[in-house]
Amino acid sequence: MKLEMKLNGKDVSFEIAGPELLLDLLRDNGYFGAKRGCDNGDCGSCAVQVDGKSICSCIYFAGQAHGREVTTIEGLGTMEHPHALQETFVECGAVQCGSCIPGMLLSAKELLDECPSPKDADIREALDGNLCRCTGYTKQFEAVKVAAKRIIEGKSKGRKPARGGKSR
Amino acid sequence: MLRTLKEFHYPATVAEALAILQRFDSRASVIAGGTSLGRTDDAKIEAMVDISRMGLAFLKEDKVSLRIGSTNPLQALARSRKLGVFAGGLLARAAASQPSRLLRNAMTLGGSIVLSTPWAEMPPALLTLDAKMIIAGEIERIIPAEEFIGDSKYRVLGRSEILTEVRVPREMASWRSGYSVFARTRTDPAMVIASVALLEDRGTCAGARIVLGGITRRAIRCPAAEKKLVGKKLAPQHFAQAARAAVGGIEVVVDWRASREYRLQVAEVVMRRTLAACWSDGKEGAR
Amino acid sequence: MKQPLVTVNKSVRKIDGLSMATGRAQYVDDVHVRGMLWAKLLASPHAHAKILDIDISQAQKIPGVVCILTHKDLPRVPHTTAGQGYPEPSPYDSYVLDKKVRFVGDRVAAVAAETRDAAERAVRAIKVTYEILTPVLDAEHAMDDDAPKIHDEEDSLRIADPEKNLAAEVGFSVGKNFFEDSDYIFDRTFVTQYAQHCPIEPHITMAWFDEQDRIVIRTSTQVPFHARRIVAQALRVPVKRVRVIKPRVGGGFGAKQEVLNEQIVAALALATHRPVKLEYTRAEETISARTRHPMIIHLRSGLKKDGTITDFDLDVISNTGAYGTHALTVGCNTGSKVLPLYRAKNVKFNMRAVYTNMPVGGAYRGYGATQGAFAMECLIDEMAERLAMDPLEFRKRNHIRLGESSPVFKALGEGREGVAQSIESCGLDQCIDLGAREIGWREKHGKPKGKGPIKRGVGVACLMQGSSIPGIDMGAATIKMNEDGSFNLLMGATDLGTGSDTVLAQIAAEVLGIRESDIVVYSSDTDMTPFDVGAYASSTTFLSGMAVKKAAEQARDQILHVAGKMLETDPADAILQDGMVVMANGRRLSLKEVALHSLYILDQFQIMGSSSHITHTSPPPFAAHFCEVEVDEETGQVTVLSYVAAVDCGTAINPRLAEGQTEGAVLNGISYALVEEICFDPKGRPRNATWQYYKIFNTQDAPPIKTILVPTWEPTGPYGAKSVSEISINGPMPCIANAIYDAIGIRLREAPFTAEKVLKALKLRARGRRME
Repeated sequence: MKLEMKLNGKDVSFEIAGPELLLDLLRDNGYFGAKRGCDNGDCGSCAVQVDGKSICSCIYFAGQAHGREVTTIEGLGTMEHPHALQETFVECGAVQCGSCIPGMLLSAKELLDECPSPKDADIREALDGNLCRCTGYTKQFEAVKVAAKRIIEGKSKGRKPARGGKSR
Repeated sequence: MLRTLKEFHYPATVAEALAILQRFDSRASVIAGGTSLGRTDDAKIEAMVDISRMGLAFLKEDKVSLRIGSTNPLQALARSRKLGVFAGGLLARAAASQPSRLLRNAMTLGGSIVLSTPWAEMPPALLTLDAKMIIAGEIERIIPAEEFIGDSKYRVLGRSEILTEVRVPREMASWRSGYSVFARTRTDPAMVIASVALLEDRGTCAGARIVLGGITRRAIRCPAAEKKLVGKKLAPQHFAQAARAAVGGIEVVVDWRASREYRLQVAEVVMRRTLAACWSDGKEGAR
Repeated sequence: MKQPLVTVNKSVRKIDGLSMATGRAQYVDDVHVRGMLWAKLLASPHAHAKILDIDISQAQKIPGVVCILTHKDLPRVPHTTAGQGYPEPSPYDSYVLDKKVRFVGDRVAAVAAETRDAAERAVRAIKVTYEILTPVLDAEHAMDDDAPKIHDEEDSLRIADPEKNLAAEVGFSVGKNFFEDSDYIFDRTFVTQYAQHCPIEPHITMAWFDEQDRIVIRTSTQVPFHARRIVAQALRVPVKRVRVIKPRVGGGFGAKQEVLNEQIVAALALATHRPVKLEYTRAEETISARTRHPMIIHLRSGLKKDGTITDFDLDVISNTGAYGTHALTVGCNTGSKVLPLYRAKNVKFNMRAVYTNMPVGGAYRGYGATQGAFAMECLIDEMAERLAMDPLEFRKRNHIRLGESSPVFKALGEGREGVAQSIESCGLDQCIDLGAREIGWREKHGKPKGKGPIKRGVGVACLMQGSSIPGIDMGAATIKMNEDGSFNLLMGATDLGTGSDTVLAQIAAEVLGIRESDIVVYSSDTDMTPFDVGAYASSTTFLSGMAVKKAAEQARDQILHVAGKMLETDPADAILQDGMVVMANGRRLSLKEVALHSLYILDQFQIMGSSSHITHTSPPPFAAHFCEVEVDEETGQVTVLSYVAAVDCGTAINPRLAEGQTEGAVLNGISYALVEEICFDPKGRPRNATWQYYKIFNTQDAPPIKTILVPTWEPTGPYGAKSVSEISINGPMPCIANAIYDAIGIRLREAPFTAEKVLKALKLRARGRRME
């Protein structure tokens, strides 16, 4: 069957057999940002956004995304033009092995879209589906707060080129 | 893996969806959030009927009921202002207790009810609020929560039927409520859910609806416990009595995580605290 | 000598961080290889059984199935899957495929198929006839005379005593007249559970053939060089025919210090001559990969009334599961990284690692010290209490100090005798003071715990670890200069998400007077990078960091030499700064000019340094951990309210990354202490292999964690650095146990501290009090 969706802002279509899950479809087509962690919706490393809401793509049928807008980490920002969250995650030391990071960033983006200055409890709630084994979450909470502040202050306007040694 | 799955259908109306289900008979499955289907094996399923685009994500009130569409994601319920105040916010709290935002975004009210695992968040709350399930099919059926919840989906819900809506009586709006989950961690399936609603009339308990979940295979009402409270000016000993009555004689679901005895003890504690917190309007504490 | 630091000790950005945050970073699975087959392993449903027959005929008929391997198809080579240096101190008791299965989840056969679905179906279609044997499921009785023999095969090597299911044994005794001078004797038993590493990326390995018909293995590993050696050994191919590439790794924590699937994937590739990929599911990761050795720890100590500790007698039974991978060395660390922390004139240690028909123990962050520290720090608390002494004061009086040594260092190494050393840096007292202040120790410890059923308490634990394995571990690095004054840093050192690529680049940048972003790091690839033992034993910063420093210094000397000739100036006393060579007389040259000159102009040569480093000492980092907990006396639920880890890791090369190491280790330790546990049914089948039931903490479970880095200067480390990665996972279990005691007066000695266990202990006490 033919599957049509908007993927990272572009209209795309895929021919699928039916049982494919969104994670497999994305990875088979070179969108490697979503990771496979548990295949059971428990860890969130496969998270992508569907119509602005983050979901676990490992248990989400590709067919469910038909006619919808899918955003992967590749659509959030690039190395040349990272999103404020991508920048602050790196600056704050919130990235270690990186497996959970794409999914967590999309959850954080969803949070900031609906709650521009989140409190600690909001952040904990918004990221509670994204397990991380490396960081203890401390730096990630900080990174979300710093990004929120930066976006509000308009300094980064959501997107700003990264500068190498700025965090010194 | 659903190896035989070949088609997705995206009906725009309930009637359309029912027609497709009829056509496929047992070879089609309804899908809303999809969180329970992605990893299933069923060699019969050829078609998925995606009911998430039929306008069933509504939340409205009529004269007698609060009406909640079945494809509302749990996150939408958790965030709803209306649900945040209706009956002390019981439904919003129940929805918020689903421990992963990613799953709250996908899981729907209908899915939580239809699958009704012992630890499902919504059924105990709906039972507490005397909700009714609206089922579309050849004829429309209205099934009280007591009958629907926890039963096998095919006994109540036919293969060619769809749960479209949940109605909660508006008279429950002014009840106070309490909802607590006990588990090892936030993401652990609930071992105990205590869901309660109390009605106060000039210092006296004028009504009580007490439900236990998690510890039993299906959420159950506890009439014996309710009797301990109704008509009384409530004091701590009443909550203790009611909690003891609530766990009396229940059939406990046990897995390796904790013993039967422990679950019963904890259920009683959690229930007592939930009742106390409910009565004092959350001013003192259930965890 | 301390010099002002420019790049080191700065929280520069992790150099691969942005590529990870944008989804660009390439892990094993993030490449497409044309014609790749999916592999799947058939796992044993029985804890202990002989394979009488394997019928693959039905499985072979499934469309898309390309190859099925059983023990009949492979050379039978005893080896260990422990990714350790040669000769490995672990017994050679494993075979790529065997005719016996020794735990539920052990491998029986391997399938390669065109699709994942076909591979999964084929595995289910293989018919195996087993002769089911009685399993050994209790470590304490594994050595009984009538216990079934798990390794009854004749060809396994270096098993301590296969007749007794004894994989490894080690012990020592220093001092004499044990317990004769002590006024008090303490005698306690501690029990720890099965736990898994839970890297977000499960084990994944690919193998294919290059144009020279060599086997290329792209794998998520901490030990690429050991992987190459062990694959070559197990499949009887020359080392030169194997190349191992480690791309980005999605977490390891010791799980990937195991050469677990590289052999079987390479075997499938050899058999099919096609590219093959094997990715563990979460359930396979939990039960078929490796775990933390559960231990029964019997610790006795002697104490004098004046507060002097006289004796320690530590006896350990470690459950290594079906195979003895890391059995000896993990057990050694239970003593060697724990006993030296406190002075005592008599110290005795004995460790027996026993086989059971249960999941296999392995390397897991903390590496045995985690279990030992639980026993030690709980007992220390109890000893202080007996003397009515503040636990902090008691620890300060007895812990090892600057300039001191411990006989344990010499007596016990990694699987053999250790290396004598004395402490050349120690910030433990300051860790204790700063941590105590942060948690509010003085106001909270031993104070009333509030009314009602919810009680609060604070606890402490002090820790040490090591930094690399002295005399054994070696790391090497090569650095070469490019035309623009940038450098390639080629290392065998293995960044598995820890940030070591960044930390090592900072060290090189410091030497060369440039920014870490001017260093292009490549790690690790057995064809391209020099040898390194890999990421384990808290060694990378300390050991590989020194190799990098030495290599960079060679390059620096060459740069100065070339610059001196270019400027016709004596380069003595010249420095490298901000990408420039600055001569003593003030004349300058950019590194770019030097590079171009050396590559193209005169007396051309490649400016490059290459160096190896071994160490003869393993300086311990130190830490003092504190936490505040809440215990619900009606449900038994324990909640950690806040956690403070004060750590002396010498110079933190990158303070933010060092904090991150600490916080991650702490949270892992907290969930290990409270909930993490693989549970089994009576037949030895795990009941909670997926994350629905094996719980690790999420953002709502995690307490606030505060890290305090206490700087010291370790003279044997690069720029004063010691290790930081492992130590902090050892703290939470004793720290929480001690806090629970402070809250409710009950000492828990069996982990994890589940709500039911706590409530049971409370009830037992209440019953006891009633009987009094």
